[in-house]
Amino acid sequence: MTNDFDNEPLDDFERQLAIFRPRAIRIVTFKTTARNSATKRTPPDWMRYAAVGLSCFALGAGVMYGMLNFQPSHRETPPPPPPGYALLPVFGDAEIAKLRRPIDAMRLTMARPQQPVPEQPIRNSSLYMLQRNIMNDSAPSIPTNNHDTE
Amino acid sequence: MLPIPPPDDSELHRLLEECMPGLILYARQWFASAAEDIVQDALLRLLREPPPESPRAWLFRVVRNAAVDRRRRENRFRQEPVPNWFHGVVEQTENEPPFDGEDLTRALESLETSLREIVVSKIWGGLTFREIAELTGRPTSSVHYDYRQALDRLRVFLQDENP
Repeated sequence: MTNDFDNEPLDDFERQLAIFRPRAIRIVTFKTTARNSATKRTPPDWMRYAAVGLSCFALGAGVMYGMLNFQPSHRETPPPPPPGYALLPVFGDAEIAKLRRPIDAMRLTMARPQQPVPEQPIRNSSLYMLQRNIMNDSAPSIPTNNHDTE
Repeated sequence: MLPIPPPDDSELHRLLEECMPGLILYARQWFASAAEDIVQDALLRLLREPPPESPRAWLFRVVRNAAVDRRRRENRFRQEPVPNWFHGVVEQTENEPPFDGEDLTRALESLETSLREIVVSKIWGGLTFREIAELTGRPTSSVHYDYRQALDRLRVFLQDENP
């Protein structure tokens, strides 16, 4: 197993190096303190990836559970629409104006539920004043057809 | 075919005494903080497996592979520096060196790993150049050339440290 290189005699420097004995005893303080406090160990990659994956899974599961079990307490179910309006969509003027065919616009306009007109009288109008005066003074008799029965 | 008997206690004890310090110093190049653990694992593996032809070279190969692999896996961990890889010089010889263990540690740390492992395995590990060549996967002449280059650099470094 030897060759000419191994048969070379050691020089003084090699002998000086060979005097030293490698230290084979680990310092106790190094083993106890360095590993606990001084050495900043980070977790391996697989542990960090597993932590991120578990966090994302838990977050997604929570969101899905919330979506499936969400019941708004402050909002009741809307009342059913009146007959005839149940299946008719409500279109605005803008959507109707976009239509090219007049028949479609007419159809949609007819299908749109009409807003009820307020029946309160306009008190400041001259028509209201005239009506009130008539009612207070003497209401004209309404002709009837009672004479037929008399 | 009879199973190969494991090394007996006396042979194992002698092997440990001869190789243990060099193996730890060899493993310390890649993973200083766990060199003893790596060497201990290699010794346990030597007891479990059939004895190789050259236990010394086999141990160095196992320690090298384990240390390099562990260094690659745990490279981001900050390693505690070991200020002195050697005991103090206890033998008073005619070739008493003018430098101490810390100087030699710094000198070895100044070398590249490829050069340092050759010096360590040759001087403190007791391997032959052929075994080091098989260990590192390089030609024997190249290993010998790098060994001489590393010794020159160590000599210059230590002379500069201790003029």
